[in-house]
Amino acid sequence: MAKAAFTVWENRIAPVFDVARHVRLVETENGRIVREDRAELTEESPVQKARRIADLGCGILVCGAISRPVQEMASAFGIRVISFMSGDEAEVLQAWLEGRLDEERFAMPGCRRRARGGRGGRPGRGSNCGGRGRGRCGPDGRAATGPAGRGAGKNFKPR
Amino acid sequence: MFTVDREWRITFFNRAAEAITGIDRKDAVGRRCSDVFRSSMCESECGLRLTLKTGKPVIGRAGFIIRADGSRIPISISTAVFRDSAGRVIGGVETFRDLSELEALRRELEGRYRVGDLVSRSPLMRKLFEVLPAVAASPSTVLILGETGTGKEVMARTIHGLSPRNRGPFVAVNCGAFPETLLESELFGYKAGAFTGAGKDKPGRFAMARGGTIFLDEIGEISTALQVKLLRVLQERVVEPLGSTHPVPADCRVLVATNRDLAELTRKGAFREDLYYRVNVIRVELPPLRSRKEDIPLLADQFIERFNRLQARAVTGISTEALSLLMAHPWPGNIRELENVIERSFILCREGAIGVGHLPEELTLQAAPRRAGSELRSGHDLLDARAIRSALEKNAFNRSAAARELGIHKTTLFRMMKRLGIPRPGKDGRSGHKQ
Repeated sequence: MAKAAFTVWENRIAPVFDVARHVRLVETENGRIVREDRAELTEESPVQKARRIADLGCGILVCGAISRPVQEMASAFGIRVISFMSGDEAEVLQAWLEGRLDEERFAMPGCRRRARGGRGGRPGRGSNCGGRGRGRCGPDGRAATGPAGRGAGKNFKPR
Repeated sequence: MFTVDREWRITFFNRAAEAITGIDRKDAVGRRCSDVFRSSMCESECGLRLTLKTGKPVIGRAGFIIRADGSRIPISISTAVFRDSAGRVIGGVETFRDLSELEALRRELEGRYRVGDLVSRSPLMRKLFEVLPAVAASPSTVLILGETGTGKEVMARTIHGLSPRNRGPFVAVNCGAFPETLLESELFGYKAGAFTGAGKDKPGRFAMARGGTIFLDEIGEISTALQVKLLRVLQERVVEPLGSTHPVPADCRVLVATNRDLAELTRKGAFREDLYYRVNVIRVELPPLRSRKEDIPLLADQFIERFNRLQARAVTGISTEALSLLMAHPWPGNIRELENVIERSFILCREGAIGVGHLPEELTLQAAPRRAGSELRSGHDLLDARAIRSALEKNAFNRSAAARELGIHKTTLFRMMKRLGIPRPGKDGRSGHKQ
C-alpha cells in the first residue's frame, strides 16, 4: 500500500509546491488505485504544507518546483519527494503508476536528467530537480526506470 | 523579458531571462510559462493573467521564483499586453528583475536574522541560525552549551518547533532542580508499590515526551549513577520505570544543555566519557550577551513588546540614555538578566519610554553611587562614573594613572569624581602602583 500526494492546479501539477493550495491524494495497492481524495493546503508556510502532507499519511510527494530547505524538511518528515515535475495531472498520475515519471516530457524545463548506467541517471550538476535519478519511484516501490522494484527507495538521499 | 501567447506558451525568452532563471531559451520556448518561470505568483497572483483579462499593465509586483537547484530568487515583475502589427492582442509580455542583491542589501541594512522566536543582529547568531533547520531536521541528540541565561531553553524550543516532531510535546526538565532520587523517578516514572508512598503508577518525563522532544537542562549536575541510566536510554531508546520489569520505548528526541564545561568534567571523572560522546553528537554554542551587544536594543524591544502585552501597558520603548546604560552593562546574567531589568523598569514606567530613572538601582548604582539628595542623573554622568571607577580599579586607585588612561588631566578627574560623588580612596594608589 502506498499513498502519494500530487500538488495540482488547473488540472496540472502545480508549478510551485511552496505556495500550492490543492493536493490530490492517491492510495495504491499492487500498482492499482484503491482510493482517491483531494485536500486543500491552507497552511501559510511551505514547511507547514510539507507537515500536512505527512499528516495526511502520504509517503510520496509528486510536485513542481520546491525550494531546497522545504524539500529537506519534507524528507525529514519521511516523505519521498519527486519534485520539478510538470504536466497534465492525469498523465503524471498514470506515468507514476506505470513507473514512467522519468520521461523527459514530465521534467520541468532546465531540469533535464542525465543518463547514469541504465538506472535512470541523475540530475544535472547543481540541479535539485526531482527525485528523478535518485528516488525514482512508482507506487509500491517500483522503479521509474529499469526493472520493476530496482532502484526505487534505494540510495535516496535528500539533498 | 519573455512573451507568451494566449495559451500561456512562451514565444520569446531573452538572454537576461536565461541568466535569471538558469534555463536555456531553447528549453523555454514552447513550454507553459508557469513551468518555466515557477513563480510564487503563478497560481494566485499571475500578473500576465490579470493584464490579459483587464488590458491594464501590472507594475512592480514582487515574489520569488525557484531555480532548478532549489534556490529561491526574489524578483519583481511588470506585465503588459502584447499586440501584433494590426493591434490585435496576441499575448502578453512580462519583464522581471532579479532582486537578490537588493534583498541582500535590505537584510544587511535591517541587519536582523530570525529563526522561530530567536531574533538577532549578531553575526555569531547568524551562523547558528543558518545551521538550525538542518539541526532541527536531524533526529540526533543535541548538546546546547551556554552561560546561564543565554536562552538555552528558548533554543531547545526553537529546535523542537522546527523539527518533524513539532506536533508532539516539548517536555523540559531542569536536572539541577531535583534531588538525585527524585530526578530518577521524575525522568523514568515508577510503578505502584515501587517504594513507600508510590500508590499508583506515575509516568516519567520520557514517557510524557512521547512523539515529541525532551529537554534535559543542567545535564552536568546529574549523579554518576543516573548518568549510567541515561546512557542506557540514549543507547537503547528504552526507559525502565522504577519497580517495573518491562522496559518502555522512549520515543522522543533528546536535547540536553549545560552551562558547565562537560569536557573538563569528563577529564575529572565527574561526567562519564561514554555519555559525553553520546550527548555531544550535535553541539550548539550560545554566545554570552556581552559578545552580542548589538542584540541588546532588539531584545529590549522584544521584552517591552511582551510586557506591554502581558501587563496591558503602552510603554513606547527605551530612551537613548537608558539604552546606553544597558549597552555598557556587562550582563553576567545574560538575556535573563536583561529581561528582569526590563520587567522591573515596567514597575516605575507606566507610560512613554523607559528612562534612566526607571532602571533598577544595581544598574545605575554600579555606574556611580547615588549622591545624597541628588535627583536622577543623566545617562552620560552614569557612563562617565562607570568609566572612572573602572580606570581607578584598573590602576590600583592611582588617580594620575587613571587620568592618563582616560585621556584627561588629573585635576579634571578630581573635579569629575567630586561632581559624580565617587569617593576618594583612603590612600592614593601611587605607593603601590607599578608603572
